[in-house]
Amino acid sequence: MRIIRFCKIDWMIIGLQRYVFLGFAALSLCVSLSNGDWMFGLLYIGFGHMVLSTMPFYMRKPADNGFLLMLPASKKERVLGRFLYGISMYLALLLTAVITVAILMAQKKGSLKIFLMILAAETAAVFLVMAVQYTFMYAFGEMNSQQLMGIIRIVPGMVFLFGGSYILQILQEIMRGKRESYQFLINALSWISEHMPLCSFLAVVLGIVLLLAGIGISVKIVEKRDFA
Amino acid sequence: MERDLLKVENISKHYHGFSLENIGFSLPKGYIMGYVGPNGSGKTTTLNIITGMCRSETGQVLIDGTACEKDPVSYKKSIGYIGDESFFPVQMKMKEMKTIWKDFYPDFNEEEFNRMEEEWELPEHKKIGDFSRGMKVKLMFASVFARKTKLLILDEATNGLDPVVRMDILKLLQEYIADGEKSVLFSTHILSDLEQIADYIFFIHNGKKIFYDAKDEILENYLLVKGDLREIDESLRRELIGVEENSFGFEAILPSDKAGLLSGKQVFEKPQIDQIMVHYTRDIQRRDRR
Repeated sequence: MRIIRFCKIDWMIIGLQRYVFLGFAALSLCVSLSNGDWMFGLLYIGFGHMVLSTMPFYMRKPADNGFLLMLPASKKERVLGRFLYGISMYLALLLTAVITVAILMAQKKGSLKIFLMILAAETAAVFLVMAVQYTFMYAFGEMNSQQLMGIIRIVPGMVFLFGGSYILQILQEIMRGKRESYQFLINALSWISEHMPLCSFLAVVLGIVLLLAGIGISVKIVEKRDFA
Repeated sequence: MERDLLKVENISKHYHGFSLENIGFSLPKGYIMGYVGPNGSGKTTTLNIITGMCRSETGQVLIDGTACEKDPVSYKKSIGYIGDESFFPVQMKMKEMKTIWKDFYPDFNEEEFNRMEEEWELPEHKKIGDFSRGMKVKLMFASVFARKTKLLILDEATNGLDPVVRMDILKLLQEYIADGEKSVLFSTHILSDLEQIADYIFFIHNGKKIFYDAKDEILENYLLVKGDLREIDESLRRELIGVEENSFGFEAILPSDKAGLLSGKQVFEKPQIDQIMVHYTRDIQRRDRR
């Protein structure tokens, strides 16, 4: 229960910034519906999460220490609460994706199978980035360098958004038969499409394993640190 | 039955340029301890270790027999901490804070909190960052007094408050310990506050204990001596603590058991706590400079 309470505090701490989060959800919905394609909308969701989920690290001031650290809980629970905040934000964003896909499916656009596969890959990527970002934040101090924090916050999201857009573009071209030279990708894609449930499952499992590793390392770091 | 509520056993902490060395004391239930020393002497470091925000490199701290490492939940529940600055997230409002307290402290008494909120005129819908310093301190006190704690830790909490609010708070502290089951550890620069309410005094300087005793014992153990420096002999000069020269002669502290060294040419009186502190601090600073 205390883990959920810390997650709740993080939602409170980000204050008005939570409307930025709603903005990303709305943007994702608009982009998907206007293009009749949920893939880019899904990318915006991942980007939004990577940028916004580290907000409690920035919003926390050194002066808040006396309040947050004096709440009756263990350091482990505080770290788990922070990770739960990140996960809850992702789930809330995913809700937008589900709504989008439901609308598009009703219009007979897109394939549920491919959606689930891409979703699994995105979940793995989001969990990986979250594990790395949070662990980095805990390891190098939550409020030591605002510039460094900014880089950790923005760069993974940008790489994900632009890299993901590029990959999706190539995939779409391959599907339309415009990129025949990417034979290895075509082979890989046909293998993946033949083993879609397994690939989706493995991607999600990989994401969860990475996230658990990030949590474990973060807990170890925080347990050894003062004012953490 | 355990009568010591707080046991600090041999704690140490080393930072670049500062060391807290083997600090130890105990505070019985139903008493107030003043934890005093000049700026940078290690008061806040000690309190941070006691509250569990910071780890000690040696020893341990027990509150009612519980160590923070063993049971952080009940350890922290038993502490009411009031710092020198407001520690509430500035972007939050009191309504949100109350939700958090209710979530984390099942014994949080909202009615009692609302009563204090009304009495101290704390604005419910204003962001805490927009509160005045006095309001922030009152909010910290209200948050602590609205739940059941055993040990109240105040870190320079009365600094900058107007005398009326300070007197109210000192009264609240005395009421807090009245049942004989709770205690207060009070770090302050305002030594007159200690004179009024402290039962024990711990004096720290440069991370080391200078003295620790019951306040009445300390007051009994020292004399404030005044006289002419030319009229004291070497044996008395060696025992004087923090000799301060002025146009009328000198003023210093002398351990009471050395009173026999005084001649009729010096006058002495019972010192106040702040006079003992000031002379001790000067004495240490002089020795450090040598």
